Amino acid sequence: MLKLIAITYLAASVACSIKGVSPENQHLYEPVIIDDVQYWHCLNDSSIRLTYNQINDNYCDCPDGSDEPGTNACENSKYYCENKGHFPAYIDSFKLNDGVCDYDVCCDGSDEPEGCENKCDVIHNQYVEYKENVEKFMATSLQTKEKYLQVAKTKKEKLSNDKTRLEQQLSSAQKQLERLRLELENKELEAELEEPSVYEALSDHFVNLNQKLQANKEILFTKNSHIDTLEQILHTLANNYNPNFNDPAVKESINKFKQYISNKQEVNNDIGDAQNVLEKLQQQAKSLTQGGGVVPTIANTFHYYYQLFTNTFLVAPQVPNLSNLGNNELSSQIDQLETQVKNIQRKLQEVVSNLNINAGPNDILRAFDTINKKISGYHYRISLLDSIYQDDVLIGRFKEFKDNKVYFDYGSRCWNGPQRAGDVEFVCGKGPDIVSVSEPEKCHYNFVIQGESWCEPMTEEEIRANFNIDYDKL
Amino acid sequence: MKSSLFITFILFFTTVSAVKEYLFKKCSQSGFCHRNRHFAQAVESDPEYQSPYSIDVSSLSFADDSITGIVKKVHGLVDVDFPFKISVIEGNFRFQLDEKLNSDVVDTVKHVNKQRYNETETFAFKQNVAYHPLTGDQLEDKLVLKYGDDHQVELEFYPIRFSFLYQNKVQLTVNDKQFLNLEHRRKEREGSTSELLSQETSFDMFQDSFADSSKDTLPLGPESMAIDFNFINFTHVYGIPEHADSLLLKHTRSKDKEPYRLYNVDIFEYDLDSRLAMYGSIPFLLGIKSEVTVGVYWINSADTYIDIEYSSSNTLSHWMSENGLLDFIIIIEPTPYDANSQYGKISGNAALPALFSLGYHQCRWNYNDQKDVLEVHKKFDTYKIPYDTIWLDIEYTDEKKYFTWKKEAFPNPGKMMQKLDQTGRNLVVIIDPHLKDGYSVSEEFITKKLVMKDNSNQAFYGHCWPGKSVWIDTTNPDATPAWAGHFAWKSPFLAQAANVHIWNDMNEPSVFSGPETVAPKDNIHFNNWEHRSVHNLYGMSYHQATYNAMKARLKHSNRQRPFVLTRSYFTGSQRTAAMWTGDNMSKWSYLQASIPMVLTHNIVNMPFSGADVGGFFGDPSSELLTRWYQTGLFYPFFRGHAHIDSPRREPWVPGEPYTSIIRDAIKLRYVLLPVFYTGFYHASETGRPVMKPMFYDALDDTNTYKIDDQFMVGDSGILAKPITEKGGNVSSIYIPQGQIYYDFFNGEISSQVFTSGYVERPVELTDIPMLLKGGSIIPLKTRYRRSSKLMKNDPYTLVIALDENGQAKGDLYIDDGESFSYQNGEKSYIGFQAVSEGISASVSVSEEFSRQIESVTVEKIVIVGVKGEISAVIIEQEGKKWNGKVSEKDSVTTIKNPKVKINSDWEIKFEYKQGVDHDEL
Repeated sequence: MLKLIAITYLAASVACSIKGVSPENQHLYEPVIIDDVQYWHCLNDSSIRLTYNQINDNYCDCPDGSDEPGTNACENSKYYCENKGHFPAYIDSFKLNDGVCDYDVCCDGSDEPEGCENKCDVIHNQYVEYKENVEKFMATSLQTKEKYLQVAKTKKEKLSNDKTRLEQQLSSAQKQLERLRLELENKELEAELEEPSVYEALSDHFVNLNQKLQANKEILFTKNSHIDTLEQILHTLANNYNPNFNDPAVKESINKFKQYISNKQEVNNDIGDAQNVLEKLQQQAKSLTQGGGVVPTIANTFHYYYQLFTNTFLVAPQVPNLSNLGNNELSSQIDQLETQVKNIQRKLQEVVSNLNINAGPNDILRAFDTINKKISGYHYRISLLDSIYQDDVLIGRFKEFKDNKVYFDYGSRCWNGPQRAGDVEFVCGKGPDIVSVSEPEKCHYNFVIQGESWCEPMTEEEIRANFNIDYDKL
Repeated sequence: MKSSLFITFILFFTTVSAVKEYLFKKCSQSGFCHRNRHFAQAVESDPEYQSPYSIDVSSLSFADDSITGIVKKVHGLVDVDFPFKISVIEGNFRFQLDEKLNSDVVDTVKHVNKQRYNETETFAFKQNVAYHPLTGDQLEDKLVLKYGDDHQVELEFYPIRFSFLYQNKVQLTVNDKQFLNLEHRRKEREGSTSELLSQETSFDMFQDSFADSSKDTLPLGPESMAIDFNFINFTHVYGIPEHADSLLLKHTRSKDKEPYRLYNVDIFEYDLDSRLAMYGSIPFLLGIKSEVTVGVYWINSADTYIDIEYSSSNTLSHWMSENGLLDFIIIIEPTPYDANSQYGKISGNAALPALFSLGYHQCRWNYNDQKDVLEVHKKFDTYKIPYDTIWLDIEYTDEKKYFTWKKEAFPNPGKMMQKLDQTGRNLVVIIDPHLKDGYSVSEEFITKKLVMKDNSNQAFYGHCWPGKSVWIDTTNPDATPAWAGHFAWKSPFLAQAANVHIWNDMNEPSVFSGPETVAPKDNIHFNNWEHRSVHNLYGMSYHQATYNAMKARLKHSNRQRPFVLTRSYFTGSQRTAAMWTGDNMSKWSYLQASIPMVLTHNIVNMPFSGADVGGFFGDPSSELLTRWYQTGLFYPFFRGHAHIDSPRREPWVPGEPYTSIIRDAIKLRYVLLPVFYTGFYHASETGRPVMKPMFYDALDDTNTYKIDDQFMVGDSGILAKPITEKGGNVSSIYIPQGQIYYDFFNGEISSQVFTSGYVERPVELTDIPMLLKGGSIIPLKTRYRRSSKLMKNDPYTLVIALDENGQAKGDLYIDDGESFSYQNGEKSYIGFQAVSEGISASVSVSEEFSRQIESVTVEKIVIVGVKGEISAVIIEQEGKKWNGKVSEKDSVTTIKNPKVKINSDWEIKFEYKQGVDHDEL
């Protein structure tokens, strides 16, 4: 077959120009002449033979669309726009002869049989101007980007240094702690001979505990009065709202409030249980401070109530140190060291998890402090690796960087809706600046941040692809 | 613990099931419905009942085109005259009855127009309806009237009873059951109950004991009108939307059942299988049997209930309206098509829609800003999904102040419209009738006294989306020009764009703080009419005002046809608006219910209707969304919409394979656009349905009378039965007796033929079960374009399904799709005909329009049912002859690129092959 075509190339002396085909591809449309009749074969299926006038006859014969480069008969064909003075381009066949001058592809207007003037000159001028601006901007923005990358790098290095430093500190503190503990153990062994009474040992804790209980009672009281106020507000709403208002949020909230009220007894009982324990513990504590008793029993009873109380009532119980040896220097040093180790561990944990975050290419997200902007009456604060706030409302906390977006979730809950969440997209431009905020779905926000850090060097093709015609100036 | 859990569950279930029925009156809670049902029951069970109503023979007066007289109501101390008039309107019998008011019972009522409301027809009827002569003989005990060729009415004087004969057979009797009840005006006073018959009850005559409407002052006391219509030898009745119910109406006349109610309300999260009132009402009831169709057209815009009682041979309907005239038109014709045509002659036919409005509409509450709109717009092209219109719900406004833009979100609406216009796309923005208190527009209408008033005759304030609001009173003729001012071509709001159209929502009118979610019945309108009297037509008066305003606006462009979507509607709404079935839910059951609902609108001449694709409330599964598009493509009005709390669900959101299947469904709609547009042409000319029940073309096959899950597309011959069940994997289509259909699944013709009975076959998610009736020719446009406007130059494909005799017919209507020039003849109507010798097109077209479509051709003709094998085709047009290319595969014959132009007659002659195979091209 190839041979046949090669032969006919020689045979066909007629220069052809098929509409919609680029000059370099015109040769594919040379006719094959058999018995003085001109034929042609679909480009990707030589078994389909057409008479030559079936090319561009506005009827699709070739499955690959190759017989209709100049019409829209084939859905999958593309039309070549010469675009003299600008850049040649291929336009999808569905844009041919539809009455729309698709200048963004065919600036010469050749996609339409009539009504589209050639605008290549104007468009090319626009393009040249655009390109110059882009290149100018790129030159400076890439420098800016370099600076941000440096900042990111420095911040990351600082973190790594922190990590090393903390690890060293931790290791030395742990060693010191071990040493002191050993020393203390030895001293305890020595001191085992003179054992102080449990009653004495506990007295400080009773005072402490009583104070804590009192403080917690006060907090409880304050919170209860807040709840009372809120319930009062909701009672008023539930009793006075207009059921004809078609507001599903209000209706559902009122139903949920009613459910809550019907469950409320249960909640009170729970608190009541805790209060009972508290009272018993107080009485027991009093009897212990006043009368004493059998030493091991007192210790056990106290421990029992203390556990009961802490488990049911106190939010963050502290491990009781029953082996208190008094205020000697050693144990206080151990205490201090233990706290110090915990602190270092916590800091180290933070640093490590921060270091483990995917902070974008070259850790670029680390470069930025909080980005602020007031949009549509709201003040937005975006800390890319931490959180987003809309005024005082938490939109979300950093979740991950994925597919060039930063995702935030677990924001504060919407009125009768889901918890807020958001994502941040980035575009190349002057910045960093929040250029748009939208809420495509209720309580899910989308932010666009523009900045030089998201600029990449652009090839001419990319600049061309990004170029948008200013139709107002055509 | 346990007890509290129990309480929780009870609360939960009560809030879920009885959505909010408690907000709406049941018949037993509605004064006039309660009284009339009670009365009918008592009359029926009292063999001794003596009707107080009679026709005063001496009062009869005959004119050329009318007969007038008096119905007397006499019992006890009651003696009231009810003047009546009989006429023939556009060939149909009309009876109107008013009350002669006794001055001493009405003179104390302030502010309120004391007459019975008599302006319903001003809004409901088209302009210049014609009255025809009627002839009558007065006999001793009755009048015998004749009109038309085959119509006769006998009106007996006592007891009053109408018998309607058609072709010498009684088809309908009126007041057969003596349910006639005319509650005459009376004052509330000691002993006013003595004016009651023993069959009556005094329930809520002067007060409203329903909690939400208990503030109703009922200034005119009881004033209802009721009567019964008995369809003789009919067992199937249809119509009277809007209800979320089956196509075939249900039996309601028993104590435990609710009658159908017509009272336009904002019925939030409506239930299915329900007779409750909804957003709109069309008081037109159709009885169907094989040889005759009877229509009862009730001209009353007040709260109305209709009881239906099926018995073994007849169907009784009992109509009850709260006030106004007793005014009805009886339409008796051989077929439902004729009944639709007659009704259309009175109430007008559907406007011929702008072509774009038959394309796909993409809506959501809400597209948030200009960028959002343009991104959604762009994505349709990225995904190569055609669409015509994107919508903006209430959030585009500045604090729900209509005619304003939320500036930070829409800094340059004009530019956005221009961008949409580049590819023939349109924007629809919402404008509701409630006007926020305290801004220029509401102040203007208050100052001009063009707002609805409360019962003390002061501007009425209620709550709606913007909070405290007033309502424009579009029953006042002065409101329309004032309204039009806000749509003026030069007003900055719509930026002199010709591709912006309007959505009228909440026009029942929805009043969040009002009884039954609407305006109080004792509010006052223009001419001091009570809201009670005009309630059901208010929504229409509003969208008509919008339509007229838009029409005036678009005169400045070359695209003059306005598009208005309304939620509330009445008889006559078809002339100016499309409607949709309101706030449905993302559930399979609502997808199923949408078909009978849209069909019902189509048989009462409101063809431009649809349901929200995907369901408004909720989050449809990808399967449900996909199936909904496959169904929605057949809705005359095809729009995807979603609630603000629903996740996004534009066609690309569910991803593959769903996006491609949805794309195919939307593309199929565009392929079928010539069929839909031609269907709407017929609807606009003769009132024919666009989405049509099976029984229209199978009146002899009563199996079709209950079918409401399959339907025809206009008169094209396309039958569709979309899959509407979760996991549906079998299609079962009923083919009426004596008809043949070809396989046309997914819009692709095959030569497989089906005859009477059920056709079953397995289906995939990609399948849209469709058939094409033998004897049909349909015109298609198969090329993908971004919008309908861009399809203008595309060639047609004809699909021909021959009947048993090798014949077929079809048609095609074309005009510019956007202006009113078709009214000056700039249009083309083409009749196609196929016989065994060949195919011909007979074209009627104006010279000017012929030039406009000069380049449009037929690119392909596909024929099934050919007997023998066509070996060659000879084509002839405008005196030229040429040979065409013909091929055959799997018994489907294709004529390739016949190159005939669509703007003049052509003919294609077949030559049949003698003997066996031949080399194909």
